[in-house]
Amino acid sequence: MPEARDVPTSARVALAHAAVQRLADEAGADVLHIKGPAVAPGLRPWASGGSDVDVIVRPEHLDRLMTTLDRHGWRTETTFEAGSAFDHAANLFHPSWGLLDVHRLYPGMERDPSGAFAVLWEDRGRADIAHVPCVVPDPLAQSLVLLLHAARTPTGGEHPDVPANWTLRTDAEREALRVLAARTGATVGLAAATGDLAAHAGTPDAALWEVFTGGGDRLDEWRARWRTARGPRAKASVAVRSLGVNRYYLAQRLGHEPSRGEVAREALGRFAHLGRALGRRVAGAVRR
Amino acid sequence: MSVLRVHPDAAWLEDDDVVYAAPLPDGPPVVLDGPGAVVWRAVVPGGSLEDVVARVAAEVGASAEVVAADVATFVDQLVAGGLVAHE
Repeated sequence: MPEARDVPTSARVALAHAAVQRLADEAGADVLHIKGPAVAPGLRPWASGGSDVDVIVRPEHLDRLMTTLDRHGWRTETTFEAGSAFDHAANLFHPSWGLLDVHRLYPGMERDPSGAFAVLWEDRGRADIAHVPCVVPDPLAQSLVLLLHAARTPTGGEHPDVPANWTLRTDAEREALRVLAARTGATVGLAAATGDLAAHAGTPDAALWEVFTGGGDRLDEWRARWRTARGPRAKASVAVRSLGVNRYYLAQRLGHEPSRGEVAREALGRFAHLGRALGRRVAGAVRR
Repeated sequence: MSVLRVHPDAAWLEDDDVVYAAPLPDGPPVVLDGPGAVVWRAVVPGGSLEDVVARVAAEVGASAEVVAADVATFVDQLVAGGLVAHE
């Protein structure tokens, strides 16, 4: 029987969702499958099945899930701290299944990840993926997840997820989405997705979304992350990581495992990049 | 008489007459096309080996005697691969 190399990505991703659900069951971890084949029909008519698996895990169950994934051969490629501006997801790889993003919180719902997960879990549903029942958010919550994702994915215009999940929804559904966003702490993120971010201008929550929707540079992102981080410890972590090098992404770009020298050059490059962004700001201020 | 079924710890889907199946939770996925996909589809409703052979024979337009040995061999491979279970 031919093996994994012949399996197209869409099929592999569907099978991987099933595998991850089985491991979550084994670990006793609550997970919600999002994106790709987990999305309800009609919410993402333009998209294919995706290239990786995305799940949100109940924060209290994170350790047991990660332990079980590790025991079954999933290798952590990118840690939560190295992954993104929101520190939200770890990226794992398995030779049979490919890539998996484990979200310990969903960007836009980061104020109270446990509370937000509990709200999403209340109205959960099931989707049969590769003939295995996988736990998914209800369709309205799926729309909120897709809209929050759209808000941090610049497209140069309206993101293709916005019409089906917002514009074409009824007034009652949009109001229900606003209520759900309020319950999950995602009011500002939803506003960013739907073009209403100006109503929240000047708030710390709005700062990071303004970078994504306004196409800010690396310095903007760093400053926004600084403003959004809660407390001195979190702020120190932001400061360190803003200059850190993600070895996984560097390896992807180079096509091989980076040497110590390549990591160091990359770190210097990032420092220089931040310095140039700062320099442009200073020059702009002098000109003004 | 034992009944053959898709293994409860298997995931699978079909696309364009090709079946992609995998034992959970570790894989690896396998591709079943052509006769392999025909046998898989014959297993999905469940039944004895004779039932499966009869379904395959009907599907390919041959007698049960002609396909029986090949079907039995392939079903054994599916069982060994954790994709099909005897009940």
